[in-house]
Amino acid sequence: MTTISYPTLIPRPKEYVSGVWSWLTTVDHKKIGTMYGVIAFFWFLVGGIEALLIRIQLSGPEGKFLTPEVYNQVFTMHGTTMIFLVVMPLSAAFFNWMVPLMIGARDVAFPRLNAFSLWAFLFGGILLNISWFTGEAPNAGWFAYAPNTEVPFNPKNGVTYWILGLQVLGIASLAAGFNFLTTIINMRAPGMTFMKLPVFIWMTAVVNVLIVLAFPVITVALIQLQFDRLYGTHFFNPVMGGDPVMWQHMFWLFGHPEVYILILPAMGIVSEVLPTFSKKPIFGYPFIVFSGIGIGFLGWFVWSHHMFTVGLGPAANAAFSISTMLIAVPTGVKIFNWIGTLWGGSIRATPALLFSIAFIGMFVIGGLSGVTHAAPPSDAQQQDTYYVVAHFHYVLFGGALLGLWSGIYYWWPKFTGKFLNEKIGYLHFTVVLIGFNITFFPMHWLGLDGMPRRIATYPESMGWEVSNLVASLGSFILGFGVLIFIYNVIYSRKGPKNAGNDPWDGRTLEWSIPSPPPHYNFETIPEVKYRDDFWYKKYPELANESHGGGSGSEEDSHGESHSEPHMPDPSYYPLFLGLGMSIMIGGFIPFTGHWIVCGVGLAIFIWSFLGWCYEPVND
Amino acid sequence: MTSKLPKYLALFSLVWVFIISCSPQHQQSTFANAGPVAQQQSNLYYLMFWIAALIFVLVQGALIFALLNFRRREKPIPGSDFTVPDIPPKQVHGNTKLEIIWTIIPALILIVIAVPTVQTIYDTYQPPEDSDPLEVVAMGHQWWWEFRYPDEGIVTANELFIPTDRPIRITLQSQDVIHSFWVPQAAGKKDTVPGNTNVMWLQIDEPGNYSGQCAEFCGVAHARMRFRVIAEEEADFNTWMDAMKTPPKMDTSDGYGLFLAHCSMCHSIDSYNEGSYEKELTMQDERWDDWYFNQEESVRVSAPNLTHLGIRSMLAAGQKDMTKENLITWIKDPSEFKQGTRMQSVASVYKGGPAKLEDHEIEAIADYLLAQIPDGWGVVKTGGETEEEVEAVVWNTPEEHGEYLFVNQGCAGCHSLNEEEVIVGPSMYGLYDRSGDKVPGLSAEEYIYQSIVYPNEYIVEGYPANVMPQIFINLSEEELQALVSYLKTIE
Repeated sequence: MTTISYPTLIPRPKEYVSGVWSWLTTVDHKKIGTMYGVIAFFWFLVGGIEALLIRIQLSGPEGKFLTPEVYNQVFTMHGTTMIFLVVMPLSAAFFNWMVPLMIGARDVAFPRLNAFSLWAFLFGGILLNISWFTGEAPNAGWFAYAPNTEVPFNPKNGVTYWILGLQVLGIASLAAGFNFLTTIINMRAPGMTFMKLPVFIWMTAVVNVLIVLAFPVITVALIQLQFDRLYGTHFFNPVMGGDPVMWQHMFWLFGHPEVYILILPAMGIVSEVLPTFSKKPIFGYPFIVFSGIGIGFLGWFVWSHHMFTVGLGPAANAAFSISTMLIAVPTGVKIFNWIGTLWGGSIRATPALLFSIAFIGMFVIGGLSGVTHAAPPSDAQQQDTYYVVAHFHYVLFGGALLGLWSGIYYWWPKFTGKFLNEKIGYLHFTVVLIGFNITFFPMHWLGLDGMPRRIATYPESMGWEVSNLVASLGSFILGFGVLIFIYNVIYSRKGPKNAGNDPWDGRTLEWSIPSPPPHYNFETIPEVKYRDDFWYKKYPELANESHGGGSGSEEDSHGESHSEPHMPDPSYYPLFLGLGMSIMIGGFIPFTGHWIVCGVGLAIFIWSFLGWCYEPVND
Repeated sequence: MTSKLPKYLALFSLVWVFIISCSPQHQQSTFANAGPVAQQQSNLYYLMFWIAALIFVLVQGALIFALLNFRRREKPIPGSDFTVPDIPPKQVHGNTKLEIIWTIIPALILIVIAVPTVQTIYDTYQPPEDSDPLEVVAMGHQWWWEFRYPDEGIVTANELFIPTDRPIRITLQSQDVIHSFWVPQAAGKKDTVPGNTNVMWLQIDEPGNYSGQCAEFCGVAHARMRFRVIAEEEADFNTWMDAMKTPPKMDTSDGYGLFLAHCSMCHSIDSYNEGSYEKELTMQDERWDDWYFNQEESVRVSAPNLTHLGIRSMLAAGQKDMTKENLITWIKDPSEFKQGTRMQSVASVYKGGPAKLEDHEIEAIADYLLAQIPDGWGVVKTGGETEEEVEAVVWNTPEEHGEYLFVNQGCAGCHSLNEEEVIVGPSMYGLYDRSGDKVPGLSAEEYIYQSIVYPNEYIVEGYPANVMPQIFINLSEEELQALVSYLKTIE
């Protein structure tokens, strides 16, 4: 056997380096998940402050709090931040933490790639927000419609920051998407067939298929826009024969699956929380799973409902209208099945459960208002008004974020070994739910009353004053609710580590191991016989009622337990690869000397790429 | 947490109250339907709303009922140390029949919605076939609206006059970015997309003013891109059309010259003349190209047509009432009413700041603009006193006459008389001396004369084309000769 000497520029860190470097070099999915969560929550506060600035500006007519230019920057960054830097990475935090734990694995398929996703996400977010400090924050909306994003109309660098920041974030999402898909497909515990997967894992799989297929579309569109802006092409420039509607098609062909990327993880969380706190299995597991897949699939055929007023003609509008309405069917199935899960259960109303219930309630409102703009004639009055703002905040805040909060309360004991305080949790829930409704419900009639979106101010005498003021007051109640949550986290850190392995009488594998889990998760990889396997290990007498494949397919089991967990070593390279890539991409922003920055980034990128490839394994 | 039911009920009654009474008196209420298109659109909305309301009550009711009814009861049994044991309930995994039912029912409901939806899509797409629609072109500009009546040869801005009870077919275009034409009381919105032409139609049954607004984010002044639809009885509308073809009373006040000097390279004001419609379309394109391809140096850009501005009710794209006071503020510093206007960033009289004009000059321009009223127009809406005696001027020599014209026709606004100073166009200093050998075969007098009449043919190197108004061809022969004589004297 020949020995190959690897060109290692720096040695691989030992498995238990301590302090900051233990976080910077980690490849442990739990630590990565925690960092995803903390960073995303930081951006949540930033995006929330941006939201409050918007509400201050609009609290009365002829608002002078922000100039129109700054207002445009703030609403652009609010949308971009909340979607790409908050809801997606918060979901990714749950994917990271929960996927290996729920499928009985010790880590994800590609641990270093996982770390790379995290760092690319971090640096992408920073790149996007550096624009605030150069005074050129993106100002063309998160949808960046051409030709308003073309240089003649937008000569500053804001949109370029937006393009390149999104490219970095897209790479982070793609890397994570492939990673989780591979993990779910290849690393399930023996016996865990696809139809025994927890629903959250199913939804994670659907989301990551969507990410892997949707992000290339926006990547291409962003490259085209970048070339339009920097290198004189005319993809979207009508003056030179380009087509601005093409941008809209590409953006929404990504953008609509993106909506399901945002909501399906929360649906997965709710599908775990409801059975646990009802002490019943999920009602109609196959319906729930296939409706989730159906939503993901149909999500590809509805993008033009964002474009009903663009003038695609009656035939296209009719077709996309019907395909959009079709999505209500699988969504309805999910909601009915969730209610079916609660029905006849033994419900414990913890904050986690209440957030899940509120998710359903708010999501129903958002879904129903969604049907009213699935009809193009009705949408012609609602498109680009506050009615739509109300709609998607009911879906994305009332839906996605409440669902994620449900997940935080549900899995916090697993993350930390401690409970989040229940009383403060109830208060947090109540204030957030009330504040949320006061903020966003009046927007329904503001929109129906003719108030367009994205206006920096509005004149007196439109009749919009009272509703706007109410919404602005509500937004501060909502902000206060977020502070209560922060207080709860701080307060609960002092509490005892009394959660134990299984505080909620849980159903899925993560509750079978200590809280917080050891770095190798499972001492022995569990053998799975049933859907909700852990539940039936606890209550074998209930197992004969199970529809969860109780027949136990022995051929799936490898019958081999790993007694000596071998975990991947930490690595410096994901951090530097992410850093180098982000600097390189940031170097395309045309400031003086930007090619030097780009070159430095490229050098770091190549060095860490080679280092990554040749990195040895510690003995 | 048991008090969710009343909250949801309160929430629902709020919805109900607000939908029912959704403020039809508000200017942009989508429920204050003024014509058939808006009516059909809100009929569809009402259908969906009531179905949604029913589903809302059933689903939220079931959810809350389940939450309240199936709560775990771990209360101690009174009088003993025992608690109700926490036994898992019956483990129901699903009910295929039930699940198929609740898959099919929503699908059926959607059919109930989809059929009228598709019908309404086609019904609201084109005006009824047996009708005689008025053709209008609406052009979105950053950040104002241009309205054209191709059959009548009328161009105007920010106020769309239409007859009642007649379908209006609106062709939607844009010169710059995407905007969206929206008059909530009349019809849902449709986008104006550069490079694509869209068509929509609307009809208004009652005379009145209807408020409209750009609904697609279009840049910094998006919120300030408003407009008005003014619906009038057929006879009144015809009066308006005739008036738009009638010149205003002659005006030779100072304001005219100042307007020509500082405003007329972008704003047309004489589109009542025969053939002016086609000319305005060409000019607007030229102005636009001039700005688009030469943003650094261009001093002009497409701008609202100001013909008969005095009969408009609003200024600055629906921002303020058309009063002299507001007009003066607007001319002095447009950002008072609207930040980010092209007028302020492009026109050489602003170049980003307040107007470089004396107060009395601004007032003179405002007076001149407000006096732009078709001769014989019944209702004078201006508040300012514009009646002023024009002094009869007598000129002793053609040179004196020329000097008067040089100032009052606005030449002096762009052309200085000093050797050093360049305002917009070349300085007139020493013009005669250098004009003789500019173009072979043209004497100095002929060159000067031709440059006034056909400015674009004789662009001096280093100066942009298309800046000098091509309107001096309208001067009389005597006046032109007087100007030439005067220009010869500047040495």
